[in-house]
Amino acid sequence: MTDRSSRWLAYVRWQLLDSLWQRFALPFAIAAMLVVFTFIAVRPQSVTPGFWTSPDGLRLSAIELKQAMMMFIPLAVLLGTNGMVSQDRQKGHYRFLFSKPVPVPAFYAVAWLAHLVVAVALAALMAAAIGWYTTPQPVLGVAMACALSFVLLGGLTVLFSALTNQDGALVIVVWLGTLLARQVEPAMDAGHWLHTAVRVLPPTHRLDAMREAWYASQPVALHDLWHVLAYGGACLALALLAVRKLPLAR
Amino acid sequence: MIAFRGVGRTYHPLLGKRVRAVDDFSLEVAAGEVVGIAGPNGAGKTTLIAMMLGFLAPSDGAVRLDGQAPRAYVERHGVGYLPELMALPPFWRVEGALRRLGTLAGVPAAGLEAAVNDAIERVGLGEHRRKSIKALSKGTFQRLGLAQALLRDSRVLVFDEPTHGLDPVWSSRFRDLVDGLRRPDRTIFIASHNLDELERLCHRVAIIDHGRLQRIVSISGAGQAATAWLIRVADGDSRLAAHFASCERLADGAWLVRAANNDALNAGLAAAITAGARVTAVVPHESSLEHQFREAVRP
Repeated sequence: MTDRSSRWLAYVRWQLLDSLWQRFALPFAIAAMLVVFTFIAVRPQSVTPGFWTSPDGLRLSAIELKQAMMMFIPLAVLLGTNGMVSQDRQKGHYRFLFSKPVPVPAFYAVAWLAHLVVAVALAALMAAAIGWYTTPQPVLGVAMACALSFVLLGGLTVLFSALTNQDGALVIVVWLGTLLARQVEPAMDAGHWLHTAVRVLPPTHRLDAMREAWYASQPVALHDLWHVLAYGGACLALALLAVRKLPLAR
Repeated sequence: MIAFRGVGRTYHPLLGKRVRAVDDFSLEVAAGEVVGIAGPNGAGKTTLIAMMLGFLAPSDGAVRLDGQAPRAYVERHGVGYLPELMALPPFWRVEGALRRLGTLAGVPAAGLEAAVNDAIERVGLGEHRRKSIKALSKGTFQRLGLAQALLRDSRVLVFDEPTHGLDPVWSSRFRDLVDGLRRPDRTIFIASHNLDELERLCHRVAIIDHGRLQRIVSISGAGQAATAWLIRVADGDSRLAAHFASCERLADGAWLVRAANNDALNAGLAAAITAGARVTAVVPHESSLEHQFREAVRP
């Protein structure tokens, strides 16, 4: 193992601790709250023997899981990646971090991965907790759904963070704009500019389709998977290029 | 070791006028040198340092560290840097901050504990090591900044307003610390408003104003630093005046005496004392650096 890689491995510990105690403190509280409210919501049914193995029980537990994840995953990803680069820039932390022998893109790539691991672990824990109380849930599917959401939404957020100081607000605007555009687009005439616009917007519809499939333990369409991975990966790559090329002091 | 060649930097704000922060700045700093940079607020000192560390690209000219582009050098070797604007996450603890920055600086895991303890010892942070950063006073936080700059055995050390917020005891200890850091293969770059500090520590001081290099002052030694002194005598005023070519009585009764150097001062004082003057105090009034600074930087 080279000196550089062992240093990175040693520093990942700090990145993970930051992720847990700083970035994901609020998502952790949200996760705990969602799990507790789920328990409270399904408590009346829990007292009926055999309910969770009945078709109604299976349907209810799947609905509860989906609702909890619908709220948790976007919030966790947004809170986990918001200001990742821009806060270091605005608060001046870069002066300490990057006077050390550290490649800036590698630092943020490792931080992004650490946040992804923590987000996925939290989502999987939530699924496991709901599954423990109701009926076993597709923990791996939930973890995959969270990871893919992180790649897409987290990639976009870190790109905006590398370029501007208003990353959180921009991502929300783009995300909502995308959802609205996809709703309106089918009603537009052929040749309308919106048909072209939705092609370059984040493939949220593919992510939604994959999430549905994973929550139901169904296989996902590979072209959906590649589209989301390519879009999120391209955003992350552009973000890392931006932190390499753009001045840190601005 | 450090070369600024015709460096300029212009800021282009989205709204408002563009600002030329640094203009045609050239300076070569050799290994083993301690070089200071002095200038009034907004003169361009911090912009120069940002370009030296690759945080900011010059609009014109080039900066080189050991022949390499700044970012390439820093990413390969690291620089011990104490920024003027101290900012670390407030929930980090002193010891933890030094451990993580030491790890990032490439201090091997086996030597990290010793490096952190040594840095804590050097800047007297022992009693604060378990405190969170938000609980530190300005001066203690400044010492933490100094400690993290010393974690790695860097060949380039950059201190931006290093004694800002430090009490007189630690300001004095900082000078001792820098003296201990001098090494033939190490370059130390200090930006400061404190001319006395620069005069005591540096081989040369570059004076900048409005982003332009005004002059470079070589500091030939502490003994030749001052060129004017305030002298008080109990009696024998006339005898004092007789032995100095430039001697002016001030309103508070002290004499402002100018002499070419320390030797000329001593010769004049010896003659005056022999003639019966009773000297009660001799205080440097204005150092040569201060004098040159006043000349170079005009409002």
